[in-house]
Amino acid sequence: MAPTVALLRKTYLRGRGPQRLRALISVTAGAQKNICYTKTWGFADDAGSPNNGVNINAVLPDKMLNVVGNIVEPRMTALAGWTGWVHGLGLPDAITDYSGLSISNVSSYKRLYVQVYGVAAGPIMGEASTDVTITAGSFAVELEYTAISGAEA
Amino acid sequence: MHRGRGPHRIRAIVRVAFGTDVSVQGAYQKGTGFLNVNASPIDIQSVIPEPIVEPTAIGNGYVGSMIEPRMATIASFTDFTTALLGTHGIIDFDYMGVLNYTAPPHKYIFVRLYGCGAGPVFDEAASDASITGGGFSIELEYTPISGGEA
Repeated sequence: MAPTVALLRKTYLRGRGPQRLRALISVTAGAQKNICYTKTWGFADDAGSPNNGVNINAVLPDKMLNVVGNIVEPRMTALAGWTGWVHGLGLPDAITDYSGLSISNVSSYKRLYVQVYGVAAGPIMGEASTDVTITAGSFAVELEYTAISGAEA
Repeated sequence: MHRGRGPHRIRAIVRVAFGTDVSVQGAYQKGTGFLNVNASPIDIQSVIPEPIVEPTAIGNGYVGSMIEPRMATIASFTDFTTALLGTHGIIDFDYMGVLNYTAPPHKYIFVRLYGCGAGPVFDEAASDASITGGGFSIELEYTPISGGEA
């Protein structure tokens, strides 16, 4: 018996391989720009659609495929920096983790999912709790993708 | 951009290792991260001497990250009284401070160690004045001012 090993992608960063772009995006919550958090989904920009992540289509409108993402370090975050969040984790620190990017090039959305984990009662390693109104805090992600257009924008 | 007319980007992997000789011992300051034994910042200017675009915001100038595995055996940092529980901690790249044209120019890197503290809580390691073993590696991607492909 052996595990299944698969080549997910091989990318040539220059030469005649697919053109890859990298973009850095920060998401910052503020008093008038609340963010919410949904356990098992992560941050969301609309409490009315708490499972839809943060839509970054406005800052990254190009159509894309084959996205790889990661948190721009530091990935450790001071929980005190997240104002208004009853997160259920033990202070003082937690880990931000890139979960995924859901893309619809036709419907024009790019839903960014970032989750927060830390030490919870037990003790266990757990995810932060759902909260609808977070009024401060931020994270940054780096996305590497192939632009469908081939443009070098 | 990785090719075409975008800014030229260089990636460098830098290893920081502490040792028993006082000249290569390290220290740790909670809230700041790993330092030299005299509490001065760890400067990688000697291994990356070229001027680079100075960071003014996230992603402007450089991006840094730990070379994984980022889970570190606490015992590998000799003489480091971390006050963390268990056997492992997490190392995390915090930031790099760059000054190209002051005297002397510098590239300070700040890496921090986290783990499980009493409580239990998720906490940073405690300050310690002397670390005589262990180390970490980081990857830095930056834009050189010269445009050179060194």
